[in-house]
Amino acid sequence: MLQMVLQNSISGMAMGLLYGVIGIGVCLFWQTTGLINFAHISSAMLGAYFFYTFHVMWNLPIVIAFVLAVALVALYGILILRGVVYRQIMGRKGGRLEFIVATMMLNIFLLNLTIVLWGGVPYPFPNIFGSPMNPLRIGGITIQHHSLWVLGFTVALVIGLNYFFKRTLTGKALRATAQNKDTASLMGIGVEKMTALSFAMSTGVTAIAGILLAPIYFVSVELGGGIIGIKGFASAVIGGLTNPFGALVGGLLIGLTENFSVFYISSSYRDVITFVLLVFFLIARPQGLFKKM
Amino acid sequence: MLKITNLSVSYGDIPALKKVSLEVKQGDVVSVLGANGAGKTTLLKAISGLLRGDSDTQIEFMGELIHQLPPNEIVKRGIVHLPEGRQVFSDLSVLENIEVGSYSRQDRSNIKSEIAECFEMFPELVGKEKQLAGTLSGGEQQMVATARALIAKPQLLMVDEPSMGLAPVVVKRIFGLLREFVKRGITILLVEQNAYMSMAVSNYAYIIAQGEIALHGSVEDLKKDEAVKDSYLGVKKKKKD
Ligand SMILES: Nc1ncnc2c1ncn2[C@@H]1O[C@H](COP(=O)(O)OP(=O)(O)OP(=O)(O)O)[C@@H](O)[C@H]1O
Ligand SMILES: [Mg+2]
Repeated sequence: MLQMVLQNSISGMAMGLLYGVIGIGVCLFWQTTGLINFAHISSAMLGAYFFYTFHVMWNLPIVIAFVLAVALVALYGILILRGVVYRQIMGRKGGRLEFIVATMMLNIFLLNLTIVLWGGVPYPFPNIFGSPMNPLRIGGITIQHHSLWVLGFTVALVIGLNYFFKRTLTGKALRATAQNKDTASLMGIGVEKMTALSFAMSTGVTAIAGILLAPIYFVSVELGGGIIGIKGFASAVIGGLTNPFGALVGGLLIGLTENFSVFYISSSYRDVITFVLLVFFLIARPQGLFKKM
Repeated sequence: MLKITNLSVSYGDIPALKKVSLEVKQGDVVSVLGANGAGKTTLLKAISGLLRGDSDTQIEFMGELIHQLPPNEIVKRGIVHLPEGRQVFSDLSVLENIEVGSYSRQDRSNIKSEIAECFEMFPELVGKEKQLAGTLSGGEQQMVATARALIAKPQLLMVDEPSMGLAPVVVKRIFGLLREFVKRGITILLVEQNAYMSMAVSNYAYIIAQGEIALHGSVEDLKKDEAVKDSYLGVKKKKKD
């Protein structure tokens, strides 16, 4: 019994942390723009495809392929998402609704572009995060190497982001910009530059999540489809949208609930759980679990 | 130092400032007085770049035309705007607010010791470095905002209603500090409702009414002006006595 609980917690945790990382991306975007990017999850898909191309197709070393893939997605965030979509809509005094529709269309466009460029058939992801065939066994519990990698990346990400936001002047300036753009500009902060930075961070972080999700979902357009994105979004909402680290807790909550309900109820409820949690939080605690960072 | 010619600003179709011309000389304390809605805040926002004047507008600072520059570039040239209502970053700590105030500085060598000086100037803030600025009292927030402006090393400091909502003792203190800043070589452009207080620290004043300069002159002269006495100083002075 205890063993079952532990086993489910560990599997749920890895998935939950990944939803959480996607949620961190949602928060980083919301922080400075006050908007939700409906093409958010396509950054995860792009990250996985770029990494696959660089590492598997072009044989670049893992680290270089990883850095290149994340940087390229961040660049897409600055140039396409901000430079084209966001600029155009803000330039025309468009509002939230316009941005939602535009990013939904962007998501569809990117899905189709991916199919055109890489084909619609999923690629198997190389076992760089350990093979699922020989997991660690401690007592009666199996732990996938992949889960440990996810944990490691998440911890590194949290430490890195925390350092950036709390210790560096740029990070503090970004938080100031998120709170009040006009006053921030009176401090000499370039609001445009800060927006660009948060676009890059939001898409880049999500690309990392995409690469880590690929061993589970393959390198496929499924990564850029709805359900994973919705879980990431739900993690952010549960965490409070204004606190990136809250999103991790939200993600863990979803990942764990999902795993236990599959185990105790039925696997057909797996995706419904997210919506149940989302609706529950929107009714019971719409401001989310955590306060602004 | 600062020379504004024909500044007109409107919000949509509604004009808020009409062909305002104004000059601030180095070392001066210039007051801008006027009733609610006269356009004082609009004037400061137009100077700091938060608002744009129309095409006839010219704003010159230290020999450079700045009316096309964005706010973050204007600060770098030495014009620091302490906005109305203090506008501290409420979710940043007291210390972080002051640090962010130094963002525009190119020369960062003495920042640490200058921040320490800020806390010497406002001993009330000592021990509250880590407290979120939004949880401070109004007076303390004014101190944070003042420290945040000072750390930017202003040549011209523009202050918008520093006395708003503060107890008389705190107001006195703030005005005392403004005098102190002048001694340090900072030129000040001061917007105030409290005409009595601001006339006491300044040497030149502009009176704005409905977006236009109604009157301007040295404080000496304005104090003698009957109309000014009646509408701007009279009431306040009686209250004071
Ligand atoms: N964002 C805005 N949109 C529309 N009208 C505005 C806006 N801000 C100010 N105004 C109008 O412009 C005029 C000047 O406003 P401003 O804030 O400059 O006045 P003020 O002299 O600073 O007043 P107060 O002493 O009350 O602060 C007012 O009539 C005001 O209603
Ligand atoms: Mg005002």
